[in-house]
This record gives sequence, C-alpha cells and structure tokens, in this order.
Amino acid sequence: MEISKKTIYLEDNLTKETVKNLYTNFKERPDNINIQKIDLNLVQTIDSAGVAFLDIIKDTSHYQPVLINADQNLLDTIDTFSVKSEKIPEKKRRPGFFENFGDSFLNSTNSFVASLYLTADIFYWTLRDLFSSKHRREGSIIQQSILIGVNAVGIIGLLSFIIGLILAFQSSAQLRQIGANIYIADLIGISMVREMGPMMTAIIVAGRSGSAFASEIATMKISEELDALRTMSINPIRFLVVPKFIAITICMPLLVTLATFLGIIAGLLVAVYYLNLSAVSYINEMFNFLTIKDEIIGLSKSIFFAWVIVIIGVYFGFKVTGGAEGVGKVTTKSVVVAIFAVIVLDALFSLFYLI
Amino acid sequence: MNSNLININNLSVNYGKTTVLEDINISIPRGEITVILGGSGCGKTTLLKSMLKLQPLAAGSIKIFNRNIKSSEFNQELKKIGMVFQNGALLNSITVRNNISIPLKHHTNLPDEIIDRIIISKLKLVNLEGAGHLLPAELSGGMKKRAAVARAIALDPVLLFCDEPSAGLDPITSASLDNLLIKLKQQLDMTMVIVTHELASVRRIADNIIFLHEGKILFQGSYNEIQNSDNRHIQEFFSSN
Ligand SMILES: Nc1ncnc2c1ncn2[C@@H]1O[C@H](COP(=O)(O)OP(=O)(O)OP(=O)(O)O)[C@@H](O)[C@H]1O
Ligand SMILES: [Mg+2]
Repeated sequence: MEISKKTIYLEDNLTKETVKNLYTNFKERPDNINIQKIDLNLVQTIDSAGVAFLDIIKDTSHYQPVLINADQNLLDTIDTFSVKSEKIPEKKRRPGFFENFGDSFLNSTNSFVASLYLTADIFYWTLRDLFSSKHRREGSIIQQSILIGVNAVGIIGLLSFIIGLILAFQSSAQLRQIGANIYIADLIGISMVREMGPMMTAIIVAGRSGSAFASEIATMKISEELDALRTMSINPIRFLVVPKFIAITICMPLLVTLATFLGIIAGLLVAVYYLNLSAVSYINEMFNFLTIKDEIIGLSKSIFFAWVIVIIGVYFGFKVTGGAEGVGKVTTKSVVVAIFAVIVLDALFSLFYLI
Repeated sequence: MNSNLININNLSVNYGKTTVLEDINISIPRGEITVILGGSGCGKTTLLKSMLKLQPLAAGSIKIFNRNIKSSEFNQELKKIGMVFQNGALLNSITVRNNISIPLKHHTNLPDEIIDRIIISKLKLVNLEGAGHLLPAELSGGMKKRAAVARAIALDPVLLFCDEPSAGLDPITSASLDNLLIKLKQQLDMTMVIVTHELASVRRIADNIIFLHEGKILFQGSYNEIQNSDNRHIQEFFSSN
C-alpha cells in the first residue's frame, strides 16, 4: 500500500488475510483524510473484507475518492459488497439504574396480576372438569400422578428420613444434657408434621415437577403447539394444566404423609439406639403430644404449596419468549420463584397460626 | 488438476437399520451450481450433512478439496465451507448481527470496524438491513432463512451448501436470492450445492442437476437433459410442478 499525491495505490490481494495489516497502516497515516483516488490497477482479488476496507478509505477521506484502473469483475464484486456509510447504525444507549429499577418493579406487579388471572382460570376449568368428564383426556390425571407422585417417592422418602436423623441427632445432644430424653418424640413429631414434612416435600416437588411444568408448556408454546390447540378450539389450560392441577392436589398430601412418617421413624431409631428410650414410650409420647389440628395444618399447608407450585410453573411456561434459550430461562426462573414462594407462604402460615 | 471440488464414491448412510443413502457416486464441479432434486424424505438433507461430517458414513468415501473428509487435515478446510440448514439453525440466544459475527470473529483477526461493515454488507445482500439487532425468535420464517444465508456467506466460503434456501420465500424474494447466488458464483467463484423444490429456481441457477429417489441417484446432468429424461419418477416430478 502506498499513498502519494492524494492517490492510494493498492496491490495483490485485498482479502481477509491481508486487510488487517493494510487497515492498521492506513489508520496510522495522517494524510488518509486527503485521498481523492483509489488505484486498483495491481489488485488481483478482492473479497468482502477488502470491499469493507475500500469503504473505510472512502468514508475517512474528506473528498469523495473514486476508483481508478479497476477491471470490470473487480468493480462488480465491489458493487455487490459495498455499503453506504449512512446505513451503519449507531450504538444504542443503555438504560440507567432507575430506569431498570422502575422497569423491574412494573414487571413484577404485572406478573403478579397476570398470575392471579391464571389462577382464576385454572380453578374455573378444574371445577367445570370435575362435573363433566367429556373433555377429560383419558388417563391424563393418572399419568400426571405417576410423574408427580409415584416417581418422587424414592427421593422424598430418602431425604426426609435423613432430615429426621439430622434433627434427632442435633436435638438429642441438647436434650441429654438436661435429662429430657423423652421430649425427642415431641420435637421430631411437631417439626416433621407441621414444618419439615410439608416444606421439604414442596421444595423437592418444585424442583422436580414445577420445572417440568414450565419447560413442557414453554416448549409447546415456542413450537406453536399451543396455537395449534387453540385453533382446534381446545383450551390449553383445560387440556394441559387441569390434569396437572388435580394430580398434584392429590399427590402432595400423600407425599407429605410419607415424608412425615419416615422422618418420625428416623427419630424413633435415634431415640431407641442413641437415647436408650423404648419404642413404645417414644410412640406414646408422640401420640399424647400431637393433636389432629397439627396434622390438619400440615396437610392443608401442603395443598397450598402444591397449588403455588403448579401456578408458578405454568405461569412461567406460558410467559416464555424467544426460542429454546427462552425455555431454559423460564424453567430456571420458575424453580427459583416457586421455592421462594413456598418459603414465604410457610412463614405467613406460621404467623397465621400464632394468632 | 482435478476440476471437481467434491468426489463421492460408493457412499451409503444408515439411520439405525434403515439405509437412507445407497451407493452414491457424485462429482461436483468447481465454480458451478449443482442442484439436488428429489421428493420429500429421499435423503437430500442427509447427503448434505454427510458431506459436512455431521453424519457417520456406513460405506464409501467423500473427498472435498481433494482431502478425505475423515482425515484430520480436513477440519481446517471446514472454514472454507458455508452451510444453510433447512431450519436456519441460527443461535437463538444472540441477535442476527452476532450470529453473523461469530465466524468472522473466530476465524479472522480483522478489526471490529471491518467486521461491522462486512456484517452490514451481508445483511444488505439478503435484504435484512434493518433486522441486525433482532433476535432470531423475532424474525419471520423467511427472514430466518435469509439470515442463515447471510451467516453462511459471512466468510465468503469457497463452497456453499444450502438446504432449501428459498422454501417459505415469496417469488420475488426467492428470485433475488437466486440472483445473489449467481453473483457469488460469478464474482467470487463460489461452488454451490443447493437443495430446492422450486423448479423456477432450478431453471435460473442450476448448472448441474442431481436427482435422488429413495436414497439412490436416478440422474445427473444439465437442466435440458433432465427434461428429456424418460425415467418415470423424474417425469412425474417435473409434470406435477
Ligand atoms: N435423525 C434421524 N433418525 C432417523 N431417521 C432419519 C433421521 N433423519 C432423517 N431420517 C430419515 O431419513 C430419510 C431421509 O431424510 P432427509 O432429511 O435426508 O430427507 P430430505 O430429502 O431432506 O427430505 P425433505 O425434502 O422433506 O427435507 C427419511 O426417510 C427420514 O425418515
Ligand atoms: Mg431435508
């Protein structure tokens, strides 16, 4: 490359391999704003990178340089790839902190309202389905119950047994010091029935099934399956969500019962083998202490947790935008929000039962 | 020197136990447009994918740029090949502009100013100048196809594969895409292998035609020759269009 007398002389290949050096040299030349002619006499080949370079030469100069000594094929290629400078878009401004904050506040308010509408829809269609079986898909509730309930039995059983063991060991150390060994039964009983059973189950179900709801519906939405259902005049909520809703309402209390039972058994093992209590006294103490009210509180909580999990999973599923990427995002979000909501709801319940 | 860019010998491809391509022998000449025709499901996409190492070969060999595609040197050559997938295959998480910039950023050391200009020039060629900032999910079906073309030609490849580039395009856009392909062939000496169903487009662009039927080659030759073919399947294909 050479610049003399307001003409730039280029040679050989103007391609991806050569343009980088030419560009650097060109940018360093102080006289690059005075170019009036671009001589292509010695240029053999040019590709789109070369044409971009020529465009840069033209736009840098204060004059409007012309191409000289170029053969026709070269000119054709240049014509194909050349872009007018005004076509090059400016970079966008980024929103500031307060704009972002306001945006996300509005978004979350809107989401909350939208999810209330969804909740109303789900209850409406569930009630209608309970009274007419015509629109029910055969076996869909059983299939969902297997996915949500039966398949979760192993992991929920194992985890609550371990939680029971941990609770029992932690508390038995303290109880032993004050010689109150027998109260291990009360402690394990009340915490498993009222808190740990429902909560642990809800968290595991949110992770397993809530995420599955979100990703299933999101995938169906981006592949236009939901639109297909609507055009067949089938309500997606009735067709897809109601079976899940009914199934989880049945499964959740059962899973919680299992979790509570295994947690209590774990406590029993610790009581017998570590605190040297007899199994009979452990069980007697527990039955004397626990009331039916505790059981009702635990199970009713679990049903609310179940509903929150379905509604959040389904809500995020319907909300998906974008492609496969979007599915991943809403799935993650649905799990995070569902677990958060379950814990907040649990706190509210505790307040409520205090009064 | 061999004037064929691609040589395929006795190629067979299976999916599990079903044979999808059987005993294919093709040579594809340099600097020309070769069109692959055939009914839906006859194995056209599979043929393109096997040339790009995306499909294990059951038998036979494929040579591109005189290199066996199974050899390790061939991996270097992949940069010189562009592919437009049947469904576009744009990366959904990033904008159209960034989709096009990926090959440019990974395989060249060009300054950003040049890369930006190349991207705009490629978008202009497929009439998507205003769509660079959009995500693929925000494009129509035909726009996705054109964005995929822009990405495939980002590096001015020596060899371009297109799987039904004009499916879903209106006749005018489809014709302008054909013109672009012809321009690229003439100006950059690009070799192209194109799957299409549009006979109008075949007439405009094809230097050679390969006709596939149920995984076998029924015909290889020019447009005029295939019109005079007395094969039943070929006649049916052309008369029903
Ligand atoms: N991933 C796969 N697994 C199993 N079989 C497949 C797979 N992909 C394709 N096939 C089968 O291979 C055959 C050829 O498919 P291919 O996609 O190559 O067809 P095509 O000619 O491109 O059709 P179209 O014009 O509809 O795109 C079809 O019969 C199809 O069922
Ligand atoms: Mg195909």
